[in-house]
Amino acid sequence: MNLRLMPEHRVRTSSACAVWLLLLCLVLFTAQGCQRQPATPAKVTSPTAEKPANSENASEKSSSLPVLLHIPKFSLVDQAEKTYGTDELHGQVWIANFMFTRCTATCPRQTAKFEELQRVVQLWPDVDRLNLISVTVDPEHDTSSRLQEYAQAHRATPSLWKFLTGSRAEIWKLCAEGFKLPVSESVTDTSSPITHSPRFVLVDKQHQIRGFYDGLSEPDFRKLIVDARSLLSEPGIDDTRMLHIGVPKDVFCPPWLPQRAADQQKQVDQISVFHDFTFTDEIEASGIRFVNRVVSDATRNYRANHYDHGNGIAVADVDGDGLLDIFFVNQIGGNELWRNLGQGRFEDLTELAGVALKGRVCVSAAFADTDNDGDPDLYVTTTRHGNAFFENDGKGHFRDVTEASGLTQHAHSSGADFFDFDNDGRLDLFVTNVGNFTTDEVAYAGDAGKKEFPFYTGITDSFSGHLFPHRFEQSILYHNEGGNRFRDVSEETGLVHRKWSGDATPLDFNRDGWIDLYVVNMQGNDDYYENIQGKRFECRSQEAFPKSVWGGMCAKSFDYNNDGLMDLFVTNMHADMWKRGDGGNLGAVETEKAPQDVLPESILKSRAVGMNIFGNGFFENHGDKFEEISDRINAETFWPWGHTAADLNADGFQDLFVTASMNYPFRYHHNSLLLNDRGTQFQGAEFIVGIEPRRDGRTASPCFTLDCAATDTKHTLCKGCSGPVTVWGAVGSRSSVIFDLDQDGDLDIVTNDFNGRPMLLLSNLSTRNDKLAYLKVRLEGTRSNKSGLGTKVQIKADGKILTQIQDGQSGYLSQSCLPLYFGLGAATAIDQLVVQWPSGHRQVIEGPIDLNRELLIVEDIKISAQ
Amino acid sequence: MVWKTGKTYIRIKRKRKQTSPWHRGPPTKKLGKVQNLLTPRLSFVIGDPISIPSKVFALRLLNRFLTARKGFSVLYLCFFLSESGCSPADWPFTMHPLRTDDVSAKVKISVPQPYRIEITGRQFQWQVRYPGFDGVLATTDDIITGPNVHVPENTEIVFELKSSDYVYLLSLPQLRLKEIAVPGLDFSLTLRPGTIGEFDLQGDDLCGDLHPEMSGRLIVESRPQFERWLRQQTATTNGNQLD
Repeated sequence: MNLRLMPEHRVRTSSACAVWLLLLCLVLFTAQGCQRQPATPAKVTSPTAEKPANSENASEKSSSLPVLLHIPKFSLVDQAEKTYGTDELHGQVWIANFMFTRCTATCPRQTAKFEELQRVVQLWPDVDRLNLISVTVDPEHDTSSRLQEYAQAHRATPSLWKFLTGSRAEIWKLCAEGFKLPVSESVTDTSSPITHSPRFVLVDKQHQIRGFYDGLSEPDFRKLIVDARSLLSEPGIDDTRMLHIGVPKDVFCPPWLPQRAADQQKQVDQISVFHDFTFTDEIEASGIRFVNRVVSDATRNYRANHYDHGNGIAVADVDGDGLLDIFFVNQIGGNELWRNLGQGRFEDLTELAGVALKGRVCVSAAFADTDNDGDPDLYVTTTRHGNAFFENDGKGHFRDVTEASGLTQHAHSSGADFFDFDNDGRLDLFVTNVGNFTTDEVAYAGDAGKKEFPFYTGITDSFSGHLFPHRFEQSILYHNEGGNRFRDVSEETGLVHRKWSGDATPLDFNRDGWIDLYVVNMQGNDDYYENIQGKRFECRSQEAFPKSVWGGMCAKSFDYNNDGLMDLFVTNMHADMWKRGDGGNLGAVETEKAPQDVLPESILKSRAVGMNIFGNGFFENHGDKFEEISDRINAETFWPWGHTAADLNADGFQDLFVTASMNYPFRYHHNSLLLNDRGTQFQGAEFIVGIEPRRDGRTASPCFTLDCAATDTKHTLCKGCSGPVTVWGAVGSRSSVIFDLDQDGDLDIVTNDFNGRPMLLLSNLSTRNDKLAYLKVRLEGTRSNKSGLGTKVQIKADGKILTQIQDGQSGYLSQSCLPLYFGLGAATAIDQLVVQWPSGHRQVIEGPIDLNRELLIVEDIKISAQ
Repeated sequence: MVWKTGKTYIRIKRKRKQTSPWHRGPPTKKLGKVQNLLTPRLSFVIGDPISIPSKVFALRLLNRFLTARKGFSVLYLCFFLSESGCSPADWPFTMHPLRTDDVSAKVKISVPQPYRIEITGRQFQWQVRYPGFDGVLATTDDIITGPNVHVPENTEIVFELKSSDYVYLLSLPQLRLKEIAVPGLDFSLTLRPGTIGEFDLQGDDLCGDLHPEMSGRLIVESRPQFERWLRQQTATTNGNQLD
């Protein structure tokens, strides 16, 4: 049947349909809403957070220690019978241990560890905010006076290390409820100590326990030191006081360093060369107050560029008094010349000498007698502030004759090397220029209002500068025309070098009587320019060095195996920068070469693919060719800047002192002392002869200060801080020079460290070896240049032939006027001494020649003893 | 409408009156502002194969809206919008630009060979820029994300490496591939991943330690998976790099 709806029903039906429709849609909407999230408007921000699970901010990685417990209020009595408790410790970081004086078990070892802790923390700038608290668990016996004796016996510093006693109840409660340590059952039981826990407990400035450590376990002990340092660097309850922060956090006390020292000490018996002598840093006693200062590009506004390459140090007898004076080059604040007074003492000669160049960013220095008048003149390079050439009047007064000499140059200069390339008896000059790594923006390292210490800020991609030809700078060869006038002869001699180079070394590689040039390339392969009859240079890099160092920093030659041929050692810093470690100690990776594919060819631009040496290069001279043997003879080091070759143990073989370490914000690394084992290999001995650890075990120094309350609020290191902050970074040496500073017959080492004080390492070899045998040779040319640069001296003694060439190449970014020092081992006399002058003249002095003195040999004329 | 119940047929023959909600009146001429709301939802309705019955119902609502008299047209519109996934926040007539997730199911993704992906180092982070659906970089539909990189398998991929500040090294150690990114220069890294999987992607500034923010994954996936992932990404406003 058909059902026909009446009109009134149709209306009702329509309404009913609408209602059902409404209900149905509501249900559907709700269901859909549950299943699908409504799409949000397309709001675009920085890359969407599709981060891997391990992604986190590097600074958050070293987050604060967890809060474990809270120490309740307590009040005990210290060894001076003064009340001491939570009130006195408010705002202090403290480390507690539990001992008693009658203990013969672990307590003596614990106390010894606390003594070691005291030695470490006393170097910290904020040690006054730290306390070592030893609580006696035998209070009936350990009265304050007994604790005082105990403290004195263990050399406790009273303000730092407190020994606390009190009532048994108080101490029992502190151990049980405060430190939650296992304690004796009854508080009144006096038959045994309250607790036997050997734990060290770290407590922060708010009496919160942040860590428990097994103080007798070395890794735990090292961690305790790092954690205590972290707590001291935590912004705390009193932010008006200076907060000291280390970058990285363990820079004050790298946990891996003691183990490395111990490992080298264990191998001491395997070191066959003479090593029974030590160096002591006597910079304090010397009177030298020089401090190397650097631009803010290397500190507070850190960016990776060539400003962190540091400065040179050069030595010469500037005033003719027979004592060797030291010229420290400074990046900011002015160079300093220190006059040697003898017995290891110095006085400041800078102002009198007129060589400060305070407004310039200086880099390197070279002493040489350029006008053959018998005194050393001085050339100083700078970064874009113009190099300076000083003429010495013989008394240590230097006159700036740059313009008149024709040596005016405004470039990013680095090393400067004097050598006579045409054998005309006058010293020519090669200036190595790096390349344009700065902007035209000028910043001020001093008072900006007074425009003090201006410098050009660095670009952010300095180390790809070699990919941009417009950033290249040409290094310049100057010919000495006489009368201290120089002329650029780069083009006419064909020595056109436009690479990112920092250093060069002159050497007659092919022994044809004409001095050639080896130029290191910090961002590419090194170059070798062969001197053709003193008229031109030909680039023969590929032929002479088919395998080439990539990233070289410093090159110096010396005869390592006494075969009469000069070998070449090139240090390589840049390849080490690519090595990855655990963020702390790299360990074995440090002495490995990086693989050939460590970086893509787009940045390497290798001269010969697969033939790069990504590490130090030690080229043994075989007469007709050079062979790279660094790995075989243990000459690979880490993060090296430069080196100085000298016979430090006077055994007749030249040793190596290699400066190393990056500075802020990188970790600390040590210098290396490689003792030459009879020309077969080198043996690391820096921890054995006292090169490391440094004076007082220092690994950090104050780098810069921030005002986190006002001007520096946006600096990343001000995060969480609201007061003054001093940031400490790693110490690190850059250049070095080795000479007999105190005239005692053995060789001493002086460094120019980066952004810090130098080291003056005096050797005690002369007191340790009563059979010390040496000869110093000072050369004076007549037809050859007066400094005698380029002269070869050979000594026959004790069946050995010792060969040295006077090239003045005293170290990284440095050239000095020094006598040659020959260590003679067990020899008692010299059989023959032969001098081959650059002029071609050969002088032979027949023996026996007495030892342990300085000979002055004047070309052609006379020999006299000094 | 005819309901069939056994052998009895009940025919409800309604006289089509303009008052009926199902009255098919003249089409609504002025859609006005609601057109933008309808278009994506229409394509969504068409594109998503899931829940076909509700889609049919939604289509009918749309049809009714287009042809119903005013009064009911609003009702039909609201129900249609809700059916097609409109949230209360979108009610009633918020203007929306064309949304990728709504059109993605419809729009074909072009993956030309080589497939170029731009990776830019900036403040020690990788910013990864995909060509978008048109397969061409530097167009309005580019997609920016990072630091993980998704690529389809068996496709020639070219990473165009750039830097806005420092020198970076991008490396894929398991694939033994690496290339630099230098401000002012263009470098590229070509690969043709043949294996589905995930690989380490690292970045550093040639100074020793890796930067955690530059560590990610190279995710090689099938073409459908890659397209599905691409559809889920957010488009840029104008295809330009972000600051």
